[in-house]
Amino acid sequence: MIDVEVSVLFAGAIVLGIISSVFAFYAKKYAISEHKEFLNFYAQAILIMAIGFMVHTAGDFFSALYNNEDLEHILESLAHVILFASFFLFAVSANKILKVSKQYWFK
Amino acid sequence: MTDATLLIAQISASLTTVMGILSLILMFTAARKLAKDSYRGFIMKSFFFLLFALIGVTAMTVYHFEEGLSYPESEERAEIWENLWYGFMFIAIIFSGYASLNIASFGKKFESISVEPSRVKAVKNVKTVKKAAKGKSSMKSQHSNGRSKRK
Repeated sequence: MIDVEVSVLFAGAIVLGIISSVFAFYAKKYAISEHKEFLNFYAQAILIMAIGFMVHTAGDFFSALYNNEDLEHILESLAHVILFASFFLFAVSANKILKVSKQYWFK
Repeated sequence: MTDATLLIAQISASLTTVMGILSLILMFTAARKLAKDSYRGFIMKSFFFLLFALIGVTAMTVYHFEEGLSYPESEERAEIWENLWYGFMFIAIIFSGYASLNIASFGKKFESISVEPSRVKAVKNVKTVKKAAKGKSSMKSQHSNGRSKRK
C-alpha cells in the first residue's frame, strides 16, 4: 500500500536531488582555473549525495509499498555506503580548496 | 540478514559522520584567514551546506544505533531522529543549490572580463614588457630620424 507521506518525501528527494546536481554542474561550468579541481569533486559529491538520499528514501518508500523490512534495511545500508563515498569526495574537495586558498590568507 | 545490513548501515553512517567532520574542519580552516569578500563567502556557504548535511547524517546514524536497541522509548526517539534526518537533508539539498548558484556568479564575474585572476599578473607583466619594448623602439626611431634629418 502506498504511504502518501513517504511518497511525497521520495518525490521531493528525486526532484530536489536532480535540481541541486544540475546547479552544482552549472557552477562547475564557470569555474576559474584555481577552483576547477575543487568544483569538480564538489559537483560529483553533490550528485552522489543526492543519489544516496534518493536510495535511502526509496528504502522507506518500497518497504511501505511491499511491506518488506529486509528491503528497507538493504537499501538503507546501500545508501549509507553511497553517502560515505560522497562525504569522502567532500573531504577531498575541502582539501583542494584549503590548498588553493592558502595563497590568499592574511598572515 | 537484517543484522548484517544494520551493521553495514551503522559502520558506514559512523564513517560518513567522521568524514563530514573532517571536511567541515578543512573548509573552515580554508575560509578562516581570508578577507570577508565573495571568495570567502562561497567557501562559507559550502561550509554551511555541509554542516546541514552532516547534522542530517548524524541524526540518521543515531537512528540506526537506536534501531539496534530494543528499549520501549527507542521507537519514539527513532522517529524524532528520522524527522531530523529528512528535515536537515532537504535543507542541505536546497541550500546546496543556492551555494552552487553563488559559486557560479563568482566565476561569471571573471568570465565577463574574460581574464582569470591567476593570469592578471602575467598579462600586466606582458603589457609592461611590450610598453618598454615600444618605448625603446620609438626612441630608436626618433634617434634614427634625428640622424637622417641632420644628414
